[in-house]
Amino acid sequence: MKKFYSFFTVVALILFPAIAFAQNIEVTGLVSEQDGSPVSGAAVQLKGSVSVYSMTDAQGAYSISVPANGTLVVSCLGYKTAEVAVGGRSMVNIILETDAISLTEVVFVAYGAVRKEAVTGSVSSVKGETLASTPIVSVDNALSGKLAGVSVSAASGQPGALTQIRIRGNGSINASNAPLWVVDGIPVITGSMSFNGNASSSSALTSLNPNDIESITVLKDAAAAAAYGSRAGNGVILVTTKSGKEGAAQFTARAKYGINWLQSDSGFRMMNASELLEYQRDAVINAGMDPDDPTCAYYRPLSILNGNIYNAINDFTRLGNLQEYEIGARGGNSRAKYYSSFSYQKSEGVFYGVDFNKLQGRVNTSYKLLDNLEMGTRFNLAYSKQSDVPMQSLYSANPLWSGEGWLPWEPTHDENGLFLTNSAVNSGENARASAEYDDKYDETWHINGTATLRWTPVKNLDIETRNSLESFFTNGRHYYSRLSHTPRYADQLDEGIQRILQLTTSNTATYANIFGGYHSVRAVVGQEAMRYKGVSYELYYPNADPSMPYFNSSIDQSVSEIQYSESNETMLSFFGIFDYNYDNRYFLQANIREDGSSLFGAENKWGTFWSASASWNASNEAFLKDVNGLDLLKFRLSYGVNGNNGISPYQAYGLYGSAIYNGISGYLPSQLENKRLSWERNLTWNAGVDFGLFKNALTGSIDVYRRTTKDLLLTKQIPQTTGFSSIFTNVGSMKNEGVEFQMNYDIIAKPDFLWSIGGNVAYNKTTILDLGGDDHIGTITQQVVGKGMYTWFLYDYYGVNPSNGEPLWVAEDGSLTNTYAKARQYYAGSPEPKFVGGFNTVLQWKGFSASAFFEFKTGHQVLIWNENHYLHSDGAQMDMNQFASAYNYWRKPGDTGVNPKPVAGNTSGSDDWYNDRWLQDASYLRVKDITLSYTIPQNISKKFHINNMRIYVSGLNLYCFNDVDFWDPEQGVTGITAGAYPLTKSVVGGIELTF
Amino acid sequence: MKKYIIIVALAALALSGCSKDFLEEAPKQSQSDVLTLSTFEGLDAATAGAYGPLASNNWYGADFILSNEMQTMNGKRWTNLSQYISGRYTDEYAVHYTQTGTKPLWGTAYYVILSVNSVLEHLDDAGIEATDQQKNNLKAECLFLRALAHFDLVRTYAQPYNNTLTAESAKLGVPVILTVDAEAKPKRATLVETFAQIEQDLLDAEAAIDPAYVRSGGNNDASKVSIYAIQALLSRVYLYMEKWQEAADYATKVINSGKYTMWTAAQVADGDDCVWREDTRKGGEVIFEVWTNQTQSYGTGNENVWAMTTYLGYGDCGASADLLNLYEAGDARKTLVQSDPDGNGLFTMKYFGKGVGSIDANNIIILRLSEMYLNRAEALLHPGVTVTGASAVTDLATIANNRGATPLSATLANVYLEQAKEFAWEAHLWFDLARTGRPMTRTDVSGTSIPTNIPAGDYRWAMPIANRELTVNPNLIQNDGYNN
Repeated sequence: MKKFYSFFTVVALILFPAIAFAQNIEVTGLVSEQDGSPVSGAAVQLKGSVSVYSMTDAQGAYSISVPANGTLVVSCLGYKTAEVAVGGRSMVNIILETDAISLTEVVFVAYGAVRKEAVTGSVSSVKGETLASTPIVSVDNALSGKLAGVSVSAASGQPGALTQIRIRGNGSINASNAPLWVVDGIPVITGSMSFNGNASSSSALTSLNPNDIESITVLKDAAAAAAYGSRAGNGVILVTTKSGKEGAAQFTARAKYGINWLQSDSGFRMMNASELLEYQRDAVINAGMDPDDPTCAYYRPLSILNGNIYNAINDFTRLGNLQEYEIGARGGNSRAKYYSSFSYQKSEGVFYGVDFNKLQGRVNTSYKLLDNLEMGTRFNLAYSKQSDVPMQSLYSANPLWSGEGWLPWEPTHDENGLFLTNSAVNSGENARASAEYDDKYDETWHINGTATLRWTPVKNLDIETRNSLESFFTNGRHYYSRLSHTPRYADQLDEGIQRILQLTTSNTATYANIFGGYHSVRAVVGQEAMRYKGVSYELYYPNADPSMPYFNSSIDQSVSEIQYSESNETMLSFFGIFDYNYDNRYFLQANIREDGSSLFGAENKWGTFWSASASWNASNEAFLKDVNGLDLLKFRLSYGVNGNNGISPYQAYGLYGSAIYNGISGYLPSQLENKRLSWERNLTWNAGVDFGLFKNALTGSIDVYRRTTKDLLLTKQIPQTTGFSSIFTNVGSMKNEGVEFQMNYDIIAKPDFLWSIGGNVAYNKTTILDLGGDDHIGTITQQVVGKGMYTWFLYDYYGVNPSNGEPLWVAEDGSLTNTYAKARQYYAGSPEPKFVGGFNTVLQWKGFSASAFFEFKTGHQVLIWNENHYLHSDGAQMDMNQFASAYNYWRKPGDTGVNPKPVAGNTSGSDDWYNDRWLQDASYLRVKDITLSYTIPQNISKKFHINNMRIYVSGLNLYCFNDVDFWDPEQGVTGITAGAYPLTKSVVGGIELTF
Repeated sequence: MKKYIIIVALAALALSGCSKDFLEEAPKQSQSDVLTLSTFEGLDAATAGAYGPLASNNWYGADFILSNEMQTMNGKRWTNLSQYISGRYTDEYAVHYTQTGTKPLWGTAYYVILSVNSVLEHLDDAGIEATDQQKNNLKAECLFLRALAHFDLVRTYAQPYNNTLTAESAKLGVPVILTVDAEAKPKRATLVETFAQIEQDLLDAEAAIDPAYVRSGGNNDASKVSIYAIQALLSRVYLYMEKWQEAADYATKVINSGKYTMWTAAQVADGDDCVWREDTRKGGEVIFEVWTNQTQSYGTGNENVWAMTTYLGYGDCGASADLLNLYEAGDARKTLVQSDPDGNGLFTMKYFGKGVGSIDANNIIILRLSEMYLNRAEALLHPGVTVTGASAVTDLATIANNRGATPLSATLANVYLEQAKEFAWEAHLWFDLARTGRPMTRTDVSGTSIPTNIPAGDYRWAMPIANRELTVNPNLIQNDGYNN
């Protein structure tokens, strides 16, 4: 059902020239939908007249003075236009039918909403129901592959883990590359809420229930995002949650249950015991020793295989599961409306000790105090607990890392099933014991509340104040039990708390009107202020009492440690937005915003950001209006400047830190002042075309853009005669250029039979233009002028010498060498995908629906160097199992295309991190989601007093086509991970009831 | 309706209540320079802190002592020691410095200069509540530290003051930094200008300081600037400038102050109670020294002077037989060169730990009374230099008599010899050879690539400026001999 979502929305319509009649009467009435909910902002006009028109108010009421025999034409976007004869009545109520295949959807944009047709910048949006149909923990996971130009990378598949979203590439080296998230008009805190290393990375966005979301709009270019000024440089993601609705209470209940498991689709696995033994025996022989000699440092007799054999990965993993229950209610009357939901989610990861639990509730209400004064509140409360084991590390208690490297003949448990912590080659760690006995978790309480008051003092003018409080409280704990750790680590206790408070006020005045029937205008002026305060304490104690492993009065305070950290930030902004539209053909938009920020230097506290954009809806021109099959043809062009303020506080200050000398506490300079420290500026061009063909069965858009980042924040080397060797300052530039294409085609669109396909693909290229005089930054992962954000400078491994099995490298002069130190280094690859996208198909027949969604990235590499260094070591690591792919090694003269011969204690360097042999093409195509659902016919469900009942089953990430010799090709934005929780496969079933 | 208007008005008021400094958010865990430098307490703490880097391993905490000793006949790398040798100070021993492998003093000394310049620039600001004398005392401390920093820089990175070389770089000193400027790309001042500024800073400090002033608090008063430290350093600076009369006069001021007394042979000789193991000074020779301890911000770790000069630590910096052979039998200073327990190498005992709970640190003496006598003796041997009641022969005898050594006759060569004996491993010899135009010679060396003779005028008497500095500051000129 299409609805007018916001009071801000401007209606523009084509008015027909006509002559005013005499003998008018005053007609009033209500315009509503079929279910009685009012349609605000609908245009009511006298048929044949351009000057006689009116607009409905928030209650759908209108009044108009027309001839008693006239006819009213009522039109509103998203509805079919209705014509009603007045027939002398003074009260005419009109019901509008929704327009099923209208393109004139409303999309949320900065500080308001506009008809899709009126959008001049580059925006993409996705509906709440699209997101909510899959069992996701955090809403950012759901955006993957759905929107052109929005690249979502997972560095971890752990429940609740952070994702890395990049809109149109990376635009910064030292400042943030993450987009700004705005929920219900207020910028929110994002990023990892983990601190103190207790949970791997828990996203602040997990508190947002995907089912609460009405829509998500991504503002990609400067024109769309510029209203957010200094925070808009990396794009803006607008989330709008569901509002109450007039009518009887409607309840929704949902339940989901799913399982998930670890699986590689590229054939990756570890060696089995007999493969590894053969490999190791050969390695020992190649090192000139005898594996059957009991005095040999590497005694590896064949009889090892007669002993017990263990599969550590199996021992450390399990079938994960997820369950989620939710109940919600929505309703209201003409004055008060509400939407509320409460959800509980519990998921157990595929590794023992990894759990995620969440309780979340939302209440959105609005209440009309007076006809022209409305207040609203939106509250979201969430509690989550993320239990963890040391994932994302190469630590022996990481179940994945340890499981991969665990020798098959090394016992993981005794005959009683007790997990052993006496394995010397595993540092006495056992991931199952750690999962069982240690405490390692973060608990987070999150409040986000917004109160609004909207006053309409005169027609067409809204004054609104929106005030928000967002607060996080996190408690983290890590206790190393003596049951799972050697004495060196046992009984360590690490706890901490973190408090964050962000207060925001956003105040706007919006004027919207249509003049002369053709000139539609919207103007917004506003002011915003934000204050952020974050405080954390961390306590450490090495000798906790195992029977009372908490901070208590018995701790020895001379060996305990405490750390405090605090950061504060403020921001003050003024802005204006101006929209103009002539006759639905020509659209103009301009934004300007002044941002003042505490983050920057005294001389650059304030910055001005702006954009200008225009679009031409050619299909509304007379000469195209009657072209058959062409429903929409729109051209857009925009340019603007916005900023990136994503740096940590206090970097502009000249600072003093404490220094102790000769028993005297003094101060020493710790940071040079940079009065000019400023925003990075993003200058963005965007050109686009939107089209709709064949009664809008085929719709799509194409965008091209260039985003240039100037004043790039870099650590610049300066003469040490200043007292410092570097300063953090605005030098350098880079650019992102790309093309995006999005398309949807309704192949069959009959009332009970629907088949559609859709997809998007985006190409982006990042180029570093200037690094403040340097030609590169970094050593192995570099930023290089003329190349992208990350370029790997690796040693050129050539292959194996067929005659003796030694590794060979290409030397600087192009010759081959068996000496790693002589190998040349070259720019070998990059983790930045050239193309990202997704495609989907939906097939509906009566109550049955089948949908499939695929996601892909291509043109990039990953570097699995951490694992390969140890687990593909050509014999260097004799105490660790090896990748099965390492089994393909040189055995006899003439073998080519194989790994070097393993040599026990290998020192050739072929196992070194920086060999390009660990670089792999990371292109993939992922079967992201296949869902089958059935909605029970209403005539049956009604018998059970149920309006709607849907059951479904989904397979998520069931298969991923890729060639990466590892668990999964996704390795985060940087293409490098260490012991990370891989993306898992899952199957989820669920039921949704509405009553 | 009215009450709602009031609500809206109140809300609007709350929002516009943002005061002018709403956008000022200063850090809580470090202090902004504005705050530190706006009160006398802040300036005082910033002055106290500026001493800290003297103890850095880049300066007196290790490298300045060790590299300058390893470059001379005092140092030797023993190769068959039973303990672990880390490989440090190999290039220093070979006097092999390059643009990418040069001494680390540069950044640390300029850091101290920044620290004191920050204080000096704000001492006279309005609103600094203190007496003129209190401000002057801070000024004197800052000027002393600035002079010492420039002095050590110019001694390290420039040819000696009175060199007769023809290369353009040989007339250059180091950049003289007197103001705080993050964007400055300074040129090297000439040697004359550099020394003139050092002299001026010390004269200004002498004039400013209250003769009774010693910073309060802390452990060791000898590690704080006093009028005598200023005068003693002036004496040395004049010696380098060959202003002999001034050198003698300033040495006399310190000697006649009566504040310091000569150590006796028994106090100097190696032993647990010897003066080299003292933590805080109560009487004795020390005029100014760097206090080190593992608990302070600088001067800690496995690379400090203690760790590098003893067989209990890394032991890369041994003493040579050339040094041992300087001393006659019975000279207390002979006991300060001892072999390791296995008899495989010799080591100085001047840094054998304080023995006060943290044995792995030693104070590093910069200025002491013996130097004043020897400065004066050297000066008095130049024509026309006189000090009432003083003579070179008695000054030389003062040293020898307090060391159990035979007094030497009054010749310049004997003064140089006594200086070499007295200040071994105190970073004097290399610079004394340089300023007096004597070659560095040694016979007891390990390895074939170790130079046994560096003649006067050699390019190696000035160390190269690091390549990274030349890259970011095109106004700098590299020393002759290091252009490749």
